[in-house]
Amino acid sequence: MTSSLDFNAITVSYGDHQVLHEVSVGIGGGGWLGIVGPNGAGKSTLLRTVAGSVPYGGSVRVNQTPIEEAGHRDRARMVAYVPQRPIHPRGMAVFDYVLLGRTPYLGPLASETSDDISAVWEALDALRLVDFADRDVATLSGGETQRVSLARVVAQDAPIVVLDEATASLDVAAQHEALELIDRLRTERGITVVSAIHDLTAAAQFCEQVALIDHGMVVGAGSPEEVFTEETLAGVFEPSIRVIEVDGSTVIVSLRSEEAKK
Amino acid sequence: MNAGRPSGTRLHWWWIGAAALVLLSAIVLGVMVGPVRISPYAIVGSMLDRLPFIEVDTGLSDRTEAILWEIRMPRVVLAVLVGSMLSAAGAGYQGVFRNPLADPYLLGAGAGAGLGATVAIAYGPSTSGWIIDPLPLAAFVGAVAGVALAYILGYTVRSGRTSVTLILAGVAVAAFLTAIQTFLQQRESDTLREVYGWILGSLNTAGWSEVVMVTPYVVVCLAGILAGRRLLDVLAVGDTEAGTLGVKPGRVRLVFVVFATLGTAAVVSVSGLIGFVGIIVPHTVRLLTSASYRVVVPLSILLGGAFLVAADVIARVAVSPSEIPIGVVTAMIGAPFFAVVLRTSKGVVS
Repeated sequence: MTSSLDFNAITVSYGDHQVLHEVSVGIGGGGWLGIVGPNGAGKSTLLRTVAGSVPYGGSVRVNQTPIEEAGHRDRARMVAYVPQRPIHPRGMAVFDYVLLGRTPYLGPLASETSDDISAVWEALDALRLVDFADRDVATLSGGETQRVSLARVVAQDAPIVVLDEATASLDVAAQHEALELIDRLRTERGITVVSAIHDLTAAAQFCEQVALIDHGMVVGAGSPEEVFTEETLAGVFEPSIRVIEVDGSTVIVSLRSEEAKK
Repeated sequence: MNAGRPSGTRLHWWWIGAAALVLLSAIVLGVMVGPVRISPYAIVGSMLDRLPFIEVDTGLSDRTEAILWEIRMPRVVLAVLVGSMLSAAGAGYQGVFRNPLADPYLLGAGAGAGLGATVAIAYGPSTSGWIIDPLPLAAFVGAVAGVALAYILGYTVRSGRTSVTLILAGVAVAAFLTAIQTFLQQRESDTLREVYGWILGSLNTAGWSEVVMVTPYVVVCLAGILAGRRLLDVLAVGDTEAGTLGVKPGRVRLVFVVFATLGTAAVVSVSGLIGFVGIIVPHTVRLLTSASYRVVVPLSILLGGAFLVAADVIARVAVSPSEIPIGVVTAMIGAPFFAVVLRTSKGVVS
């Protein structure tokens, strides 16, 4: 069964500074919602509300039920979260790292069962990481590290996955591969994905829905075709942004002005 | 599919067996060494003889049996308890603070115990007038109060309750308590030698009464740290990610600090401030086996006990018939090791 996710009038303040102003946006079960916008717009903050790692006003709803009513571990069973820069502790084996994904299913003093171990092997297999099981998680390449983070998410077996610019540090090919992998996991497992994405072209190609955020407010929400117009994007980013079609796909680029070239 | 295939970090039984053997060997060595030599066979025989349904003729005289069981054995058992507790507390602190250089005295337990002991030595009534010796009690209360103070200070910082603010609060509290302790020490200079001796640590007054006094604390606190060791691995990914995995980092940290502090306070109240054990034992285990706390905690308990028994043997025999303070021995081994850890560590995780 898939799970829908809705942000309902989310407000977040850091001290006197209000970062999000009554943000309301949502995605149906099994969909992919991309949160886009300039640096400092509040994308990461919005995602942290789902993970419960920032105090907020309003409500996050999973299948129309407020997630705030769930306990800490129940919440972790509903939502898996990959931060912008996940910590991969030096000396920890890949297997052990992925095993952490089973934490929400274990009581404070409990040990993992054979079902948990099987779930880890399945996750490693899904991400082609079986041969990496005993490797030190801190010694992997960017792309491999990304897959390890996703394997932990798979082991966590939550219907909703929140990714905070999880592919930002990867090169073009590795980023594309990671996004394809996320899309495959989404379609095969019916996972609902919510991700902050800097790369508007990638967002246009992978996300079913996008929410454009600027200064803590939603300035556009809907399908990428609806939101990614030159007029809307120019108002948020810069006037020189262009939306073009290449082989049926939307490509969004920022052109250098004639003045700057001189 | 691959279930059952061993992978990741497992606490292998042969690791436990090897560490237990090291501990047993250290115990036998600790009981063996002294002005009256007792053979290891006689020691093992005498130990077996004390078990129910087993009778072994050790050939030891009553006097030697008394030396074995009334003088050496309580000292060795206390060394095991102190070494195990300090090592487990050190591992626990390193886990919850994600700081490889954390030790059991990080939050002011050492400074608090030092102040408590100084007050008891300088101003306390003579021991003979009391049913309970006020020195361990004062050291225990001082250690617990020091950590409590650091916790209250760290958790009322406006900028946020992080492990870093807690460590900084511990540093401030430790500096403050040490300053008071030094002040008192200077004012009551006739007690200087006794206070100094206590701070460096010693097991030479150990008897079964001390063992009986600290055992309940050590057993409960070790059990607590052992039971929750899996959570230390979860905290290794940082508070934010640990929180999204369904763990409350602040609560886990508090529980571990309570166990580590009570256990540390109990053992230092009878042994004095023995340093470095809490750092070097967990790090040695890490270097030899795995960085996972599932492995580090149980092996540190076994090897920490063995290490302190061995250090106590050196303290006793190096300049016999007098003794070197055990804290000096652990520091002389610990300081160079500490330097190696610093050099090989790529940086303190914050």
